[in-house]
Amino acid sequence: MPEGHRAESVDTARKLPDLLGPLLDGVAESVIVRAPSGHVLLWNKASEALYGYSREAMLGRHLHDSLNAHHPTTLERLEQHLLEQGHWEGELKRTLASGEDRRIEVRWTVQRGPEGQPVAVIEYGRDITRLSDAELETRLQAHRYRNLFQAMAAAFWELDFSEVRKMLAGLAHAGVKDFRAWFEAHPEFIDSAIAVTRVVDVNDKTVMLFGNGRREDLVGGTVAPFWPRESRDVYAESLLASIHRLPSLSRETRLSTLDGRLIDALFTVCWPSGHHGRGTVLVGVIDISDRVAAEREVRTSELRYRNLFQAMSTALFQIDTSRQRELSASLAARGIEDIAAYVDSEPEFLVIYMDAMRVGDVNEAAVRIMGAKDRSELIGQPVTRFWPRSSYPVVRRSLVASFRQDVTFEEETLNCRLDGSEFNTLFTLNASPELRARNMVLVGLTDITERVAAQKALRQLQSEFAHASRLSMLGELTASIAHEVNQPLAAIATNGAAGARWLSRREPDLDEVRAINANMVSDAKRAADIIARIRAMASNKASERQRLSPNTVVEEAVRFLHHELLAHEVDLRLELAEDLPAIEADRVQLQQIVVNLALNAMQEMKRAGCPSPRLHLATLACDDGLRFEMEDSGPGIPLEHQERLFQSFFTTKANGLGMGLSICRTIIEAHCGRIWAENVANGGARFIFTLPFARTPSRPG
Amino acid sequence: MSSESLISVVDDDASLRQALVRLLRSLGLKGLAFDSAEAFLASGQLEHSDLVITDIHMPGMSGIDLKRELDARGSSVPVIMITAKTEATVMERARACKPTCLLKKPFDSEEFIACVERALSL
Repeated sequence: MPEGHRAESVDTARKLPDLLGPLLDGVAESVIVRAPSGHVLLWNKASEALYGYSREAMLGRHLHDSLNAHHPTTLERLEQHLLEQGHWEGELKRTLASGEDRRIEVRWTVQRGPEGQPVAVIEYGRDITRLSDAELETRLQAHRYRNLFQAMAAAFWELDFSEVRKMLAGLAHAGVKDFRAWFEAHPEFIDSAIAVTRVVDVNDKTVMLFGNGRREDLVGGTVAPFWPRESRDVYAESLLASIHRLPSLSRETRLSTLDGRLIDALFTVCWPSGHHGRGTVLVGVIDISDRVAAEREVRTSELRYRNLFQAMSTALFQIDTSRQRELSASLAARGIEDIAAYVDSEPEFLVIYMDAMRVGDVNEAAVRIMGAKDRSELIGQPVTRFWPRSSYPVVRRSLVASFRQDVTFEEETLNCRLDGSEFNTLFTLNASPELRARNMVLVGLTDITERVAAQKALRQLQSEFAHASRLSMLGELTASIAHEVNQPLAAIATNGAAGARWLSRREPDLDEVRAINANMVSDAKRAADIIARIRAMASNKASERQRLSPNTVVEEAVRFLHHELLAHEVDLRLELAEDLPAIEADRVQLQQIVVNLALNAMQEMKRAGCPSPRLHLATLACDDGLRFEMEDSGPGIPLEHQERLFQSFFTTKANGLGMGLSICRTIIEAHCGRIWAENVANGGARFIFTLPFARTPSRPG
Repeated sequence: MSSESLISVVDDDASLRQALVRLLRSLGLKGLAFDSAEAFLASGQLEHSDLVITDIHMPGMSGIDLKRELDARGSSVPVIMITAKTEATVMERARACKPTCLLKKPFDSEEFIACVERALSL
């Protein structure tokens, strides 16, 4: 600031006493005007009485130094705050001419020149040393209110409404009854009301939000600069609220800052009880520009979501879950926590649950996939009709997942088209917290009919291969099979001959004949069992999963091998773990694997001229479920064969097809297991496969 | 053929073993059953046996092993071998140790009886 300018301002201020001095002497309150430097420019009579210093003694002296002023924060801070804010009020300790300390309540306001530069500080002061406790308490409350008023994150305005009241009274006098209609017909009335609504006070937040940081630009003026025309009806609303004596009114509107920027605001006006008729109202304004911007963003993203929703080639269903929520709440209210158990005991609940879920919206792909003519055929439908009874277990699992607050659920299932025809689908459900908050979940359906058909064909092919491999295996076992069947046949023939001899005696020994007959029946049954076992192995039945005891499967397979083991003079050792859980598998295919592995081992041991061939079969439980091991005492697997061992058409046999191990792997992998081979430390090969144990049976239903 | 004759039957298949003993009994002969060659040798019945009927394929000692053992012990007891196996090599090895008879399962009972009678008359 140029020196000259400042000097001139001070000069102007120095002239003040001449003009104002006599006037201010009549005021009971202490009024002191000081230069920004702190030197006293004006000292009225009340100040002389309060502090005991004459005007002559004080003019030109430094105010704070002369009165030995004290404040919990430093005076420099107070002065700095004053210059920034233009205003300060609070309590100081000052020392009177008599040497006595007093508590003085002061209000300071900065006077500024035409350039905005501080020219003088006006102080109003009061001795509050002797105020009664009650008065102090009241003042403290007022102080608290002011602090609150200032500290609030909201911008607060104290408005003088008295002129507007007069205008309203004039209207009432003129016979206006329906103010709403009248306001609508006369927007210019609202404009003039705005133009006479005066700003009494504002808090710091208001100064920051609406002004350029200067309280005096706001206080004393009207609200017109802040009230754009587009928000006129909100002003009219608040007038109506006032007329109808509502305690408060809140509206979202747009207000303008001093520099013309529009802000989205939550505008709250309240007429504190007892203020009716007094003309001042308190207005709170919260800047919600950020929130409004966020909402606009949400709307844009919703639009984006809608576009995506429609454009997706997957069939999408937006499901309204409001009623389903009520169902959940009512279950919770009845103390039902284990939803799975509840559904099992009340199977009809599934239908109630599906009835409660209605299609809110669908995309074009959904219209196509469900065979609808257009979206309206699907919207509003409960989802029940899309679920055939055979798929209810899937609904049950999705329900349990939903109660667990799982975000996604996915399963392959069957669904119904509108015409009731069933088709294979991949059902996915998304219940993200964002969707849940809007009472909806998103369901995607993919038509996997073709994939399912392809998988079926593949399974068929694999099963054919397994069958071919079994037949070839049986071929290798022909000699063993012949031997095995011959045993009971030989016994039958022998018994038959013996029986005939006993009968042809003069006195037939019928007891002996009966015993022989019983033996023949049991041998015939034994032969039939062997045939049945071979027939099962030779059959081309579709793969059939059932719960099996792992050890039983191994024991049955060993029966196939009995004669082969004898023929090769193989020492077989079984080490089967007790109490193994069940597996879910195809019995014949698993036996095929055990037989196949054992045959391979025996052949390899024979080929290597193994002197004392041994085969060790073991079952045990491991992390992956069942672990089956077969160890032989042969030469082990040559390194160069290890990688190709399980590949198709890999064989070491002169007349082998090379399908055996490859089929074993296919079967094991189709059962979600793993098969591999390794060499045993002291010679021999070990084949291992694992299979998951069957899931513990769920509750019936 | 004397009713005093004792015939030892060695076969690991219980039902055929039993059937053979019954057939012998219907002929008026006394059969003693053993489920393995080892059990037979350990029983001490070799000396009392007039005929040994043995299966070839058994866990442990085979019928061929048994015949060789008897030869080694200097026993002259006749031996009838029965087998359900038909592989040429097996038959070859069986014939090589000169059993009185070599029968394939299932065998004709008349043929079996003829074999037994021939063996006992030796």
